[in-house]
Amino acid sequence: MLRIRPIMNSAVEEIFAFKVCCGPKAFDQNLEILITNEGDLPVEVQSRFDLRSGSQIHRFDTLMPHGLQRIEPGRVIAFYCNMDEVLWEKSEELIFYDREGNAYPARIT
Amino acid sequence: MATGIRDKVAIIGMGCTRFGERWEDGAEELMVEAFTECIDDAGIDPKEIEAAWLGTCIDEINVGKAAVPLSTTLRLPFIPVTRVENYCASGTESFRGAVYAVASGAYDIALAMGVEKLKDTGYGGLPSGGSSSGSFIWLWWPNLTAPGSFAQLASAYAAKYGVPMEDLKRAMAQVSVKSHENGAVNPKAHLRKRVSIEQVMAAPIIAYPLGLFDCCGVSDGAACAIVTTVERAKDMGIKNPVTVKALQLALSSGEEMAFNEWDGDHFITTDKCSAKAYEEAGIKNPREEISMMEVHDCFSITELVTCEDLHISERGQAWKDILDGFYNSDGKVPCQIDGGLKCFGHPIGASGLRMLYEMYLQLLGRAGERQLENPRYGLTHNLGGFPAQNVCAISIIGLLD
Amino acid sequence: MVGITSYGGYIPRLRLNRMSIFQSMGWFAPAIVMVAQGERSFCNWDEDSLTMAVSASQDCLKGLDKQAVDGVYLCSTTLPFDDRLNAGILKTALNLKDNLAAADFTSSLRAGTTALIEAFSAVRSGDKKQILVTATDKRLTKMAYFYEMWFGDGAASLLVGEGDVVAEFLGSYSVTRDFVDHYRGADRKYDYVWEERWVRDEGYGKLVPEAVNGLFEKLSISMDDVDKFVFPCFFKAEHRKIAKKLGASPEKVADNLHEVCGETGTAHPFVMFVKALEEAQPGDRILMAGFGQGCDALYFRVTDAIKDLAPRQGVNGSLANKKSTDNYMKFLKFRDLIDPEMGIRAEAPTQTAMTVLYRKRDMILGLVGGRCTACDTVQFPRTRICVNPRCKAVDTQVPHEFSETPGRVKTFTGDMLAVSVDPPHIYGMIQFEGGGRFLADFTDCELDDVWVGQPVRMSFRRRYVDEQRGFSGYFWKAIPLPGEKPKAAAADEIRFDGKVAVVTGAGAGLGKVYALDLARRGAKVVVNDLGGARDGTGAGTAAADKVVEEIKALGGEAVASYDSVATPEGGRAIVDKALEAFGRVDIVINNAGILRDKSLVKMEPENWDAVMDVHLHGAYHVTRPAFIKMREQGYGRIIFTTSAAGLYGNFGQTNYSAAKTGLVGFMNTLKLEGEKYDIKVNTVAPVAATRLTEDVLPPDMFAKLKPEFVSPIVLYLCSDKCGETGMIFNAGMGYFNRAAFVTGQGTAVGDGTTVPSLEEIHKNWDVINSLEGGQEFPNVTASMGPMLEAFAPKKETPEGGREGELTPKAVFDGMAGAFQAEQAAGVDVVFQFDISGAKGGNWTVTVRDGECVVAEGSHENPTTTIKIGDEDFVQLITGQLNAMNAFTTGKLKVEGDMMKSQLIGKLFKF
Repeated sequence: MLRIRPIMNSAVEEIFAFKVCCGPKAFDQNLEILITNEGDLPVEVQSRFDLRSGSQIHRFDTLMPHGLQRIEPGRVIAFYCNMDEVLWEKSEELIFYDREGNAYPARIT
Repeated sequence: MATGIRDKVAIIGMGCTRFGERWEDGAEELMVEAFTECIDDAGIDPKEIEAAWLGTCIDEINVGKAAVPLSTTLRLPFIPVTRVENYCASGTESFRGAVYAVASGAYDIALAMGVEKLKDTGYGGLPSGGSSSGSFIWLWWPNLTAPGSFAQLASAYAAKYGVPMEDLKRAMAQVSVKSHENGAVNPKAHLRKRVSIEQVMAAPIIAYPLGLFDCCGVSDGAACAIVTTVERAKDMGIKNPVTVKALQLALSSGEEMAFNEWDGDHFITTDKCSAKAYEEAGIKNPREEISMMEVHDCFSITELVTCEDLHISERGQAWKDILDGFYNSDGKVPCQIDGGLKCFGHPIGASGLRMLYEMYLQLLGRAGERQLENPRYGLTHNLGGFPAQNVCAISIIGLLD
Repeated sequence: MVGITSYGGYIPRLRLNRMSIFQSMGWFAPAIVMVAQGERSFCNWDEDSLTMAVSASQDCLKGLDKQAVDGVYLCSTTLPFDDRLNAGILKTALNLKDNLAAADFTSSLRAGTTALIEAFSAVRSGDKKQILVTATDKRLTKMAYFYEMWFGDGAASLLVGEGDVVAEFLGSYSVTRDFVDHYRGADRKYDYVWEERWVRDEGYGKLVPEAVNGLFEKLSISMDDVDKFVFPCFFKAEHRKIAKKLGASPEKVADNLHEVCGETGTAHPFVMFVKALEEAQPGDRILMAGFGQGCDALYFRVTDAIKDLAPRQGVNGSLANKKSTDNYMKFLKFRDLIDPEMGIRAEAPTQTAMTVLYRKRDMILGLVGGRCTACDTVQFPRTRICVNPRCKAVDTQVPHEFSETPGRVKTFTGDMLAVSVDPPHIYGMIQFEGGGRFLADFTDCELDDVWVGQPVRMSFRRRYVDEQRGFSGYFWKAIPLPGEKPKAAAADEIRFDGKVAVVTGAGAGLGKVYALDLARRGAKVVVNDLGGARDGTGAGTAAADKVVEEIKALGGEAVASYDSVATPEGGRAIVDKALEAFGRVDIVINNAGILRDKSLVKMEPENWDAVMDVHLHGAYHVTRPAFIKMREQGYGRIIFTTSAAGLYGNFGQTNYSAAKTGLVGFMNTLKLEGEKYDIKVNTVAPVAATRLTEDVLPPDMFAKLKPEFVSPIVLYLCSDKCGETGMIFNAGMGYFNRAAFVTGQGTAVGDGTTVPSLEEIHKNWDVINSLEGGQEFPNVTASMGPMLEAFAPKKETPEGGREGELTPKAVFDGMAGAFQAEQAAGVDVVFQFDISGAKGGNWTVTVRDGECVVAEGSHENPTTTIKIGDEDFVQLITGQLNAMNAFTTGKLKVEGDMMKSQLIGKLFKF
């Protein structure tokens, strides 16, 4: 049971780019996606999602941080990536997947 | 017998640049920006300044390690100018020079300037000194960074008081959220967007358990103050000037790092320094009497433990006070009402004076949207070094009456 | 006798899976798969030949008088300085005396054996007493060729001396011939190798036998006089062939260690030799040979003294301490063979001031700090002013070594920002045993395996390389030692921190398990055991003491008590022990027990009494003083141990059954006495394999019935999470259920005025006997309910329609009218009615001297307090709600003197 909240043009983008951590710089990460585990068991989420606009699916798998992210019950993690605003406007939902391949869709409001 | 600094010195003018990535301006231009606002505020002619202090920290960039750049940049008229440094407390150190100069009666009007142009290094974060931090220390100190050394406060604090790390992280997150709220209404801050607790807690880890939002960034900026004696201020027509109530420093003795008692969870320096400052200012109950404060929130955990070291929160309770909103802008003791280092970044030499700037504006009712109601005492806490070895500088200012 | 007096070894922790090299570069060099077996060792990014040499030398000198060493020979083809005595850095790191001779032996892979021969000569001549000979190599190789696969990094150390040697040196023979199997020019990074077939045939194949045969002839021995033949040769087949040619059977030939670390260059003859010594028996004869532009052969006999050598890491220990990886890129980066972007921050200047390094050489290279002779504080670094804030004496410190001092992690972090070849960079505060601390870089660890409190040891490492000037700088780092990470207490873990528990009979069986489990969860425990036999005879302290030791070993707190529960003095002493040692007593588990099984016919009074004394009286002796203290505290948890034998019956155990069930009675009343002080009392009937059930249970069942399976429910009942009191639970094998006294509804026989006849009893037997619709009663008063109920007059509902309007207030207003004064003779009570709800309130009804006074409010000291909701009260008064029913369902609560509440029905008739 994951609650997925995408934040387009998040305040985080500017902070990321400014604070610049761990050697490689992080810039243009304008899409922040918060994922909260509202269930009782831990979930391992893959660092990728599908963006659906109409019948078209675009896959995004260069998210930061990379790799399976384990979310304990009650906790929240964030993914960041660069997202084209025009494509985002046209899209209806994004879908995340866990380790087993279960899909977690979220409508884009 | 020494009688302290209380109510001997008045601040008659202050200036502060917009902080941030000032690509188009070097340290010189920033100093002028702060200075012009300050002189205007003081209503005096620059010729009247009789002595000046310059606080800068990093020698390799900026204006180097000399005082002359202040004198030449501001075209000061062949007066005494001294460069001071005390790690990240260099801003308060500069202020200290100016304050004691006029309190001693040696000069009537003195200037304190702090500036740092960190964005000329070519990367984010503080530069590592290597062999230029002295020929001995770099041979044996660990390869530490600011986030790494302050991060250890968090695990030590959590272990000592049995606070689950999740709760501590939430309290640290609230520190940042609160500061961002305040910075959002401050035109001089660099970061002016609000963030939520969740965004903060979900952010990537820099040095466990500190995440991205728990760390301040580095930026460019300058701030300055003009001080004089209280008598002179009155002569100038200022009926109720802002005066210095206390100005104290405490530096590590080395026992944190090499003796066996310090637990790694707080700042012995701040604990002792604030006690002396309260005594100097005549403050008996800081939790009740301090109206507002700017503490050195280089990292949210620093702010958290500092609230206890400043004797405002009880030991082991600061995290609860923070979650209760005690330090929010509408709380009992608003902390970082201007947005703090979190929203301004930390141009080292300037930060101490930027803190004073906000307290000064608040006391004079000029803080705009951030204005607090009738503040009485404003405290600034300026810390340099890292938990195991540091310098703590505290100032308390208020209106004369 | 001259020979080897000690040895040491060091193989770096990191091991590269050779297949990973092939997986990256096999497309380019398919043939390398032939030698891609196993793993090769490689230095961490902060290790080099010198640091490995220090580690091996430390291992060799552990526990010995280092100041007796008067010679240091460092042997390697890959030393960091061409001109600066590397052996001098080694000697400083080991904190050896200045008055010694030192030399670097270099330029050949047999520099080690050569140096060893020279060392024996020096000691034999009497010129030197003890010479440390350490061989080490970290050779760089070009990618994707055999040598990258064959080579490993490593070091080994031998201490040469006379007298009590572990391996006697019996002679050597050297051949020197400029056979250039490979060379490395003075300014070059990599070896230049010639054709392998030629190296094998003309080099190893001819030179090794020449040297070995020369030795045989010189000493008049043959391969029959050799038990172990040690010589490096990375050509596996040639290795076998040479041995065979020289007449050595396969089991005599020491393995060349290709699969586990690879060929370690100059170090390798020593590495193989040290491994042979670790596995040798006294009397074994070992032949060691080193190859490189010739060959040295040396012959040894192992002595009895080898058995007395203190244990050390050695080569076998190093091989076992490994971290395997298949990250070939990491291997290349650590050796600077690839050039990833390190960022501008990495450009920090690195010039070393020689004057500073010299002044502080013992501190920087030797990790020598100070001890203040004024206050005895040990500190790092050594300074002119003592760091102790209460001392601060000037110039009172003497040198104090830290390199071998164990320490623990005090705080640490994993820093993603710090410039690092292997992020995150891990560092923290180390607290040394005996005092002293400093902030140190950590190495050879992963962030997930570091925890606060973890033991560490210090290791000499390369801190930086000043590329611009060709200088390597060294200092010490902390290695967190692998071990078991203490489990973080789960957020919902039920703990007993700050609680004090007394467990009787805790020397064995159930009691011991309770004591250990409580201690694990933070309780301080009084381990009481008489130490007697199963039948209660005899006594001893060993049983309790052993459990206390076990508790302390797992980091808990406990004290022993040896008193017997069977006397009041004994019981009091047990509780006093808790109060003395820990200041309070929160939990008492009455577990002590004995058996004297006999059928009643044979049960002499002595056996009946003994069992009563321990089980039943014992519980009284211990529980009473504890209860008194718990009342003061306002908290307590008491457990009685009953038994299925008592609850249900077991032949031959009348004494035991009586005692065990007697405890249930004790609990039933004690729970009432403890209620208002938050003292909860419960009883557990365990089914477990202990001394008391040894002969009762069948053996296969016995094995399954571990006392551990009972402990969880007992501890749960002792925790502040459990709200039960007065309950009985069975527990065994992980199965739990509750036992209780259930009372059937029964029936009234007759109308209460005529005594029922036996015939009527017989007729109603089924109903009297039935437990259908049975219930439990929390106390005796409640139990009277059905009986009183059965004969109580029916309550009449007041005139129709008035119910809806009846309020508690109205009831009290009318109370005086309902008063039956003639029933009030000798009655002196104050009833306090606390009616909750919107129409509720507080009323007192005082009945004294035949009069009744009703008032609003609360009385300070009522005899009986009745608490009930407003609507329930009205229903009760109007007879719609049965009083006993209301009581047992909790709608009606009575406090204080419950018996007096019975009077209400008598005194007031509505």
